[in-house]
Amino acid sequence: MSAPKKISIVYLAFFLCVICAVATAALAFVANTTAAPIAKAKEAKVFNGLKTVLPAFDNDLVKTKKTYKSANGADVDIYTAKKNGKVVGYAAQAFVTTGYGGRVEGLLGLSPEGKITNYIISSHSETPGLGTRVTDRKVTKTIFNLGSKKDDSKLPPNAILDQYVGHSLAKGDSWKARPWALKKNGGEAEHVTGATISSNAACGIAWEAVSAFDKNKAEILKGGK
Amino acid sequence: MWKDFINGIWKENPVLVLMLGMCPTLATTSNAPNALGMGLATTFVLACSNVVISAIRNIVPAKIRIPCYIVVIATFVTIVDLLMQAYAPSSIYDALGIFIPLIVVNCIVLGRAEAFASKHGIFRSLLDGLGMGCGFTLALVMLGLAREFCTGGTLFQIKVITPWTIDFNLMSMAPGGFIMLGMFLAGMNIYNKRKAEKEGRKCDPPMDMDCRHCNICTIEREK
Repeated sequence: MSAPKKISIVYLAFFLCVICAVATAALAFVANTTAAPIAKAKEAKVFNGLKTVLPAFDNDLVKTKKTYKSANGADVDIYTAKKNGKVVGYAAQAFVTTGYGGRVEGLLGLSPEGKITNYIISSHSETPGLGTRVTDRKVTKTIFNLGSKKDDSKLPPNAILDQYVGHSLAKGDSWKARPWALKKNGGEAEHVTGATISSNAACGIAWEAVSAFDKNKAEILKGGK
Repeated sequence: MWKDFINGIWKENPVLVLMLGMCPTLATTSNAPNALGMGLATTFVLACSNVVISAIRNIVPAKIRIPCYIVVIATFVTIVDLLMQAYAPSSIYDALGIFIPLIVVNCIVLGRAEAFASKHGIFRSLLDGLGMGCGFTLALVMLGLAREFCTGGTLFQIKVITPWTIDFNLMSMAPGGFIMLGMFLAGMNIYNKRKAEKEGRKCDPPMDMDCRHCNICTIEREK
């Protein structure tokens, strides 16, 4: 270390500037080289989620993304999945901010008629072990089934998320066409005891998705042609 | 040379002896894979920043050495963050995401820069960084394994007590982290004391880990 005295403040400032400039250059280089892989990883994440909730499709899903408003005015992204030019389903990405840990995002697969076919929570920060009972679809790995192959064709069951499957806002559905609610609040959906807020969030996301679909049905169906 | 490496793993273990970097320790050890990810990221930052700081130790004016060190450390942390976003499994990045930028303020990194790298050569600093990082990673993974096992009987997210179920969520949350860390420290103190007695030395537990500095028990009496 150089002698602490006799060093002018200008030199100190200059030195710090040089250090920062070198650091910035290094960062710029790394940011540049990782920009493409990061974008790819993010896209892959969205795409993998979409793949799990939709039936087999062969079009470029990411390009079909369109944003619609739900009945509550929230943004819902809807993707159209096609196979051989025919619509096989829609995927709706919806969110609520009323989870126990804030924002909860869900991904729903919808049939061409708008019925929920699949439902996963794609991002959340609920309490581990309590709220995650609502949000997670997970098979417990044990030492005994380590070797056995994972069955990717079906999602692991989650009673709370699965109860929404088959429901829509179409006429004749057993669930009423008003904002869906938990049974304890006078609605139809079950909840996990001790995780009411998380259950409520899951219910809210499902409602956002189906209401956005119902509200913009004409436009969505036209886009599918 | 070898001593510099070993030092960080046991004698000066960052978590269990130096008690540095408690925030990531408690926050990311709810399961072993996360703890391992955090440990490796910190090790990378420690080793790289130690090398660079040791290389520039003679040209940095003493007055502004701390800001310079912080810039170096922050640069490496950002690099790790970008690399993890690009190449790490998304589940690990999702879990660690908010803690990676916090490595900048992890006291171990700046602590080693100031206490070791700014006074020693590049090679020894690298070994010290790697050793400290390994010690940190080891301590984190042990804590993670213990907490994970108590939470649900899993090790590295694989259940090992299959016929039975544990559902002890306290251990996966922050209070459980404190409890488990306390048990680890107690165990470490017992071990060191026994070892010292065997060798005929007197062993005092570290100052801030025993009753001497804490007067909670005597408050009533003094009144």
